[in-house]
Amino acid sequence: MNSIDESYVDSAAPNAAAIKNGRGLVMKGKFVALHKSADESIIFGECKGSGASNYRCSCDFVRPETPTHRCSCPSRQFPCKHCLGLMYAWAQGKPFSVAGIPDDLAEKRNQLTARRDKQKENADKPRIVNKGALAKKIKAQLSGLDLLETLTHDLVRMGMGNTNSKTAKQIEEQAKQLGNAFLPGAQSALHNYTKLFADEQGHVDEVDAAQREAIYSEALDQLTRLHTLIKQGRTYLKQRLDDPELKPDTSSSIAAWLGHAWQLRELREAGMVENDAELVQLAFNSHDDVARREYVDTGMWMNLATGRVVLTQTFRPYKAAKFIKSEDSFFQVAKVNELFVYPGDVNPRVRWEEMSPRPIEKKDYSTIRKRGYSDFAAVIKDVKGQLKAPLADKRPVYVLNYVAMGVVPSGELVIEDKKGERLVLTDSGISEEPASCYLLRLIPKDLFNNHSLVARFHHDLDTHKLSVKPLAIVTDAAIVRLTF
Amino acid sequence: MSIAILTDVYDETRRLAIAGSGLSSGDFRLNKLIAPLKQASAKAPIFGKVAQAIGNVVESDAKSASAALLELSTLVTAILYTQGNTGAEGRLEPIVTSGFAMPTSDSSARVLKPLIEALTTTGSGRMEVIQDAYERGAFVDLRLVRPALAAIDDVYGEIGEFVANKILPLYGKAILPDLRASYEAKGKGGHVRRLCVMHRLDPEGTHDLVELALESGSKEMKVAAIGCLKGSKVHVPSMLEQVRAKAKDVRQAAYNALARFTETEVVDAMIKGLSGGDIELVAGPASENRSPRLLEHLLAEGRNQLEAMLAQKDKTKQKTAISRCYQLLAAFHSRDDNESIKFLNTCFEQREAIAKLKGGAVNGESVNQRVASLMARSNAQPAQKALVDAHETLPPNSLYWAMVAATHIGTPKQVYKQFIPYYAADVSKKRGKNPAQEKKEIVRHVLSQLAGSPRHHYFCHDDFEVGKVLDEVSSIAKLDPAWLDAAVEADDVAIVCALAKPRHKAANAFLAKTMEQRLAKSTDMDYEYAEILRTMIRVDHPDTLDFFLRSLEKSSKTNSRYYYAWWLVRLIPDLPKSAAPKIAALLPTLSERIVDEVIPHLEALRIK
Repeated sequence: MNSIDESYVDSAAPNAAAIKNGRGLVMKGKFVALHKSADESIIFGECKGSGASNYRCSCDFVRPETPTHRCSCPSRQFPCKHCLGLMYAWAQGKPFSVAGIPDDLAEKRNQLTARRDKQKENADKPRIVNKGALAKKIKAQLSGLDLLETLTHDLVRMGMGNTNSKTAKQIEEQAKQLGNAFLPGAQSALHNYTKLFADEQGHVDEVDAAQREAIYSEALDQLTRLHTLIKQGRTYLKQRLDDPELKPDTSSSIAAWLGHAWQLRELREAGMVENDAELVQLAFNSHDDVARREYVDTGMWMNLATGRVVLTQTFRPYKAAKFIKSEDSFFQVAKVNELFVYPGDVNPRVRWEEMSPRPIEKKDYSTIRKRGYSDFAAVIKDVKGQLKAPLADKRPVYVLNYVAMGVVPSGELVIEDKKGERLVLTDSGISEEPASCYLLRLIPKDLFNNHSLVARFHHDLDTHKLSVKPLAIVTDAAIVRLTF
Repeated sequence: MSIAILTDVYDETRRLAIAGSGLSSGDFRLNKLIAPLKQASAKAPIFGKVAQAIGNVVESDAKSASAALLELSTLVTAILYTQGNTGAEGRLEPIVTSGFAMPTSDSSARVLKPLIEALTTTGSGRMEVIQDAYERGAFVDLRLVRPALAAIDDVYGEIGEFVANKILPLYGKAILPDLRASYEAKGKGGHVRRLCVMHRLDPEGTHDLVELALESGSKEMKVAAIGCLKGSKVHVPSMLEQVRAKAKDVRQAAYNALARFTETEVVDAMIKGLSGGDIELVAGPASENRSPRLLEHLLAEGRNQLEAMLAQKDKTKQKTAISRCYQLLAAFHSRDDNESIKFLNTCFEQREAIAKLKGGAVNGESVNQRVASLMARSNAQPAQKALVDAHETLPPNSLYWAMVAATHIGTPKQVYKQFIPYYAADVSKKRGKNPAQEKKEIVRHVLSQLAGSPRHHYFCHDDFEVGKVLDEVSSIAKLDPAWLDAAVEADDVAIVCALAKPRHKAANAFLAKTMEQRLAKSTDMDYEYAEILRTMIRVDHPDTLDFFLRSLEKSSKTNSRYYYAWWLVRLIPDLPKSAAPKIAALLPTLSERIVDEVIPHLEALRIK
């Protein structure tokens, strides 16, 4: 509890406006009562609002990794500005009087403890599968795949060149049915196809011929992906239909493609958990996925123990964006007791329920660099092996230790390993992150030799070139972020 | 593995996928690839699989064609993914970098995103975000370089100017290639700013662009290019060409650029301009030129115009003569040679006759005022003395310059003695046009200007960067302390605020009394509130905080107009840091509207 400072409260806030409003409440002296329990495990108070009665808010730190925020206000933001204000008041050293925990809070605390215990108990119990419901769902998914197959084949039959706003709209309409058939992954893949043909405002017919020519290869790749998804998905679902006891597949990402929302319990049961992990964020981006109508916050982290680059992803649909906490860049080391790893490829998605930060030290940078790949040929082989699978992540992220960064006569920027193997640096084909190659002409010279590059691979289907986009440079003393 | 043939297969597959799989049955171009693929399969069986997949496509019917085409595409794409080229041939050269050691910024995405949005989108409120970020030093981050470069074209010109003048120079020469790549000589707005930034960062390296802009640029671009070349002797011939330009702005810029050159051609061009319609464009730059021949011309032309103005009977011609004489006088600005001063004295001596001349926008009074301003600003003491000695006979607008001249040549006591009668004059009872009132206002205005309070005054519409003149004067002039006593005695709040000094008992008592009176009134706050409080802060008045808090309370209670509170809260950061807890303690009693205004400034005081 004593370790709460203002930056901690900032990071707990769902967005910048909540920070401003929370701070404002303290400054305006809106808190008419500030209390703490004798053991300082909980703070609670009353805050004046626009109504006749005050809002009663509390922040319970009995489990410091997962504090519980409660407030009587109707806000759907979590924590609300009143809880944030309460924590700011504490962080700013405002006087909190010792008081007994109110009965309702004590009861809620007990209820929560009981709920947690029950959850723990349930977690240990074998899960009973409702076979009838599962079979019904799988059958619906299989029907959905049939629909997807019809749509995909229609698109190929019609030809990509004939995609116009009318056909795009029809596809979008039919894609909605895939959502009803429990196939959100397939639905997104179809969205990704149609969005290729649209401009930034979503208009399909206003994309000129030259721009279209540049997207056909990517569009064909998307169709290929849909085709594979149908084939592999059908096989997988039939297997599950035949054997209802069969667990979701953890050896590939097919379950996620078919819309399986992995529960932490399932991951734990499948052994997809790493204990006492320490992660350092190498890069972060927050982009607006217009096709899916949501914001996506993606963090790229290195697990210091394994050297694996993993991803955290927070999806904030437009409609609920205000109520979902947006993630932000993280500059410390995240200490995670239980790291849940989703099935996936080179960069699996990870999640954690509890995390405590610690300051990043010099040795952490050294660890990142040690875990980086020094042999580009081996990495390239690895990446190519990954990319050939149609459902694989086509833009994996690696940490590459380079001996030199420079420019070749063609004007291309490259990095070179100690064996002289080179990789070309590019910005093309990756729209989620801002351009970063031009920054290499601005950075200090001492970054050009013997450092590590956090790089995202990209295979250009038109030029048949495998190149990398620079995301950050890791030195022995810092991470120079090139994107955000 | 023969990549070429696989690439061919991919291209043909792509072609059919674009055109529609209905055309794939029996496709000739795809079909002819089967044979070489089969041949290659002897070495690598995968080619055989591709040949088989092609066979399925060409033999397919309308129903099965799409599936067959997708199968082929899946196979060939998967293979090509394993065959991507990675290297780049040739000698590895170091990246040409600016060597600009910009510190690594730990700005989070939550900080960068709104800033990028402000730089790259449209809408209101962006300027504040950008200015705030600039003041916090947030732009020292390489990731902001490109958005900042984009903002040079912002539809809101003020943002474009701010970015060009303040932000882009932070990045140094490193941004030159980007600026150059997006620059168009025929452009306006952002392109003009680009040229100016490029020239500022690298004058030598930008010469070619400047010359091109001069030759074929837009009007705005030419003006900017001329500005870049100002003072360059090599470019005098190009400037002389621009003097003949059709656009007035371009000619003005060219005259400005040529101002200090005394070459024959330049002087000829100036004389020609002075004799023709460009007189208003040339006169200013001509004042900077020290060519004896030009001076000779100016004097001769000046005398002629003066004579013509006074002797002319035809009203229209006289109007023209007055206007030309007025414009020509601008060329005598900062000329201290005997002949010029003698000419100004001649004009001054004939001020009564000149004052009677009636013209259009410019009349005899305007000419007299300009003569007075030139004499006041000259470094010729006799001319300044003549002006000061005549102060009793001068109309209000020339009196202004007489007082300015007096601060140059007289002691503070002498200035006080000469001009206090105007200030102390009783002007309250007269109605209508009141020269005494006007003269008092003039003296008040000079006093506040000399004290460093930059307030515009309607008497000061005359030329020559009046503000600059007064800045110069205020930096050297010392005011007699008796002015402050006189202002206190006259209950002149504005002048007391302008002249107040720390620990001046009478002034402190006056300020406290005035504040008490105003706070006691039930009426709304007025514009002088903030001024009085600002003065109290400046002179470290012992009751400043008390009055400030009471003003805040009043502002909150009386539902005062927004802009009074706006000014009030902006004084908070100037208060001593110890005031922060007291203001914070007051917040719960204030209205929500005022609290929202106070908070950001209170924060600024806290971190002061």
